[in-house]
Amino acid sequence: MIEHTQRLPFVMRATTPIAWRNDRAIATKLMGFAATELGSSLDMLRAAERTDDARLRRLYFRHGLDEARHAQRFRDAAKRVHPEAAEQTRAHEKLHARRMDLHEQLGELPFVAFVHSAEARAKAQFEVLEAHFASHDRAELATLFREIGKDEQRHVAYSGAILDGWRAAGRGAEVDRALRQVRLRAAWQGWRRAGRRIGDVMVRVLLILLFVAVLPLFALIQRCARRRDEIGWRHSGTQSFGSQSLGSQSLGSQSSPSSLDELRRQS
Amino acid sequence: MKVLGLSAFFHDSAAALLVDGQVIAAAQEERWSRLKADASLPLEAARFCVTEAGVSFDDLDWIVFHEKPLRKFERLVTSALDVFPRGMSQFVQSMGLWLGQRLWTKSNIARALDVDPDRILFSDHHRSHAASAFFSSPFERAAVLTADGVGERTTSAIYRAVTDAHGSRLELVKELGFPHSMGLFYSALTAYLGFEVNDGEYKVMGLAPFGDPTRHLPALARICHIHDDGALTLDLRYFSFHRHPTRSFTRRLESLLGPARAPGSALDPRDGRDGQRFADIAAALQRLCERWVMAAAAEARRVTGEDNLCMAGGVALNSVANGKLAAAGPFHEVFVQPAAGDAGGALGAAQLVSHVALGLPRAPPMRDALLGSAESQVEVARFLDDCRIRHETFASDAERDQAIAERLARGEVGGLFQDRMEWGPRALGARSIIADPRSAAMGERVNRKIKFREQFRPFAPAALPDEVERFFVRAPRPDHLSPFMLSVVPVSDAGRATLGAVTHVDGSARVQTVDPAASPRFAALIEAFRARTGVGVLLNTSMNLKGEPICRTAAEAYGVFDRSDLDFLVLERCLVTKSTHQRHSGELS
Amino acid sequence: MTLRSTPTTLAPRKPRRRLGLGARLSTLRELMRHFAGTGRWWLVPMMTIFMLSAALLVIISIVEYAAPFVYTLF
Repeated sequence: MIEHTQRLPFVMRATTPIAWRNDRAIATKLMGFAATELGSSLDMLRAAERTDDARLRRLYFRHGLDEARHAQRFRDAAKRVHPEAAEQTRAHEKLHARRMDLHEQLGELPFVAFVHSAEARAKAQFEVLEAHFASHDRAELATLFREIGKDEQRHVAYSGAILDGWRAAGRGAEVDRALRQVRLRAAWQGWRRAGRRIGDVMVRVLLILLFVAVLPLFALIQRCARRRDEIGWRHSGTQSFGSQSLGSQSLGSQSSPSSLDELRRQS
Repeated sequence: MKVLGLSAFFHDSAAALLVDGQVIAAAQEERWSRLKADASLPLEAARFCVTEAGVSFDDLDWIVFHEKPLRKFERLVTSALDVFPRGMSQFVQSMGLWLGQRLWTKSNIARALDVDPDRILFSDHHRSHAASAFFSSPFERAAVLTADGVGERTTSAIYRAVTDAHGSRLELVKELGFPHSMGLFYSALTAYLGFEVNDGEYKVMGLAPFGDPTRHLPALARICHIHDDGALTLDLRYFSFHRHPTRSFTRRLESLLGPARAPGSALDPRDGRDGQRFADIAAALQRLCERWVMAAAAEARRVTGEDNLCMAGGVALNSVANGKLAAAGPFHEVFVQPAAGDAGGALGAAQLVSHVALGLPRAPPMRDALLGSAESQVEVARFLDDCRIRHETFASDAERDQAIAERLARGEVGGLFQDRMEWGPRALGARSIIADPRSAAMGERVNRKIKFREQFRPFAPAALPDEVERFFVRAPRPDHLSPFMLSVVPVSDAGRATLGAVTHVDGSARVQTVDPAASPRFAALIEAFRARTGVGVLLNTSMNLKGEPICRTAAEAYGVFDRSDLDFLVLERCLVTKSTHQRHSGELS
Repeated sequence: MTLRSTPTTLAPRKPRRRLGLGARLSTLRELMRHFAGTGRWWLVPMMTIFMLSAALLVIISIVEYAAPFVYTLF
């Protein structure tokens, strides 16, 4: 499931040629999809562990296996399309292939509502991408999105069936509320992501300013005060705690036994 | 007394719990988060540890973090000032991280675990390493050598460790300071060879035997000068790990050794061109690392006068160097704890508090590394039934082992999930992929279709003790390393003739000795294979796919089975085979 | 040795909100004392400037609904 994709199909169709403009971009996007699928897989498997319902355990588990398989397929496709770009974005994947513990955060019913909504969005997105690559003579990629899209369709179907079952059991209002909250939550997450990006930029700017404006003076002072670097082993000798004077040029390690007092210190 | 140790924020975070000095549980966070070498605060691993002990975080007496954050911060700041005006990207990245999060480790831990901050302690990084090795060892006294990238400021240290009637003591004798570090040198060259740092070092070790070390050894020895007393001096013109967040070597290194390898690019060490060059560099690097380990160990022997050596820190995971040290080094006995990297700091910090600060008696030495989570036969069966996975259940381990042995002898490759999960990076028969070790083709198949690894990477054998004597060449000294698969030894002539899948190109192997007293179930399985084939050795590799951590749960093990070419999967006493394995289609209803 | 009598995965209790301000302030004090103690006195004013910058970021980040800022850059 692609949680972060909020665009309607017609917007997707408009942006797809730009977002997927060349092999490098394709490989990067595919790795991003792999990361998201992996994150989803982790969430589904965790949900399978947490739920008390045996039927849901099976469904979540199978869904999680599917997502893991999708992640692998996206990764393999990315490597085939542009190995270097795929390798370069692998580290990026580590940051984004994270479990969000949605089942724990939301509870059972809202979790299923979330899954249903997210899978529907993913299905729509993959349909657009299938059509795009089919029309651009990239049969392999078109097939990839078609086959994964079929899995997403099954995920939509089973989650929808569960929600319908709850509706039939008299929990219709709860289901509708959960589906509404999914949309609100998605919007809030989008807002937070935007805020995070802005914040990242501001932090970076501030630190660059500090580097340029504040560090020079202190670097100069340190240069003037610095003694020649000692090469080789430093002997611990009989240094006691806290004897960190410049003369001793201690590396900060203690030779005395580790007492609780010493262990309380962070320095 | 309940002491929880935590390591985090560099790589491979972990938690370990000691109750009255006994190790109850220890595990790496990556096994829960499923993010390889996860460095974030190990909340799930910590939660597992306290649950395993039947307590909560509130019940803990002490929580100890494995290093002194403010000392580390000081080093980062002074280092930034030293290299100024260079190093802006390093400064921006590290200051952002530290000002925002890592300086506040104490309050972050207090908030995350919901505990009183006054119960949070801070050990020293290398002292945590040293403690993890000594207190897990069978020694009453020993020299301890630690070596890694860098802790707060220390890159390597020598301690004298003693347990006697007065209690336990860990006395620092001498240390090496940043940036002169064998760990960072090895990692920089790992990056040069196109592998991921803190993950690719094993690959470099596997690549080295394909190369000729003499070609590049003089050049490397010039830029990494090893003193007679085991000290180290790096020529920093060739490295940039101290001033760049991602690039650890400079263009000068490429002028010296040739262009670096692009990450992910194909590598054939026998191509006679770049592949051979990289193998030669790996060989020289490995040779230099071994030289340093020997020299540092000699210095440790000289300054401590001890007969036993414990080692810890990432460099202690270099099992090739360990094997040579154990066989021919200055110490009579050598011990390395299985999670010798940063994860082990969690255990060591807890042991330091328990045995040194609180004076609690030591636990028995670590015999197996099975300190993680487990799933019982009942839990496994319930998972398989709930998920409608067809399986066969055996009434006993003996029956199960016979069936497995039969399949292995037929050339099948299987996953083995049993007991508590291993502590440390190696799979030791609890979360393993196993196969017949006798043919080289088997090794190729496992590499290509199951692990999806580079073809030059070898597999390791797990052998019964008497088979170790038969198939491998071991020095006539007590062996504390091979039970944890931490030393590489030569394969005997009988071994080379018999064990094609697990003998590396240079005739060596990283053997695991499976002692029936320490690992009864795994030993019994290997015994069953011996009864069937006459060979009491199995190919043993970890149960994970490329880029993923070792599996923790039965469900994750099934995921590995589902996405690879494994023929069968053993979950405790249940057996799933590819013939009974159902694809999911139609199941989602 | 296992003392476990409960399932491996225990549902976490929702933590009481500890702001950790006291711990942060004591960390700050210890940091400054440490720098002063090493003899590198110039680190104290430098860190003061850094800390004021960090405080600025903390204040902004508390207003999460406006623009949640995260400190970790990577």
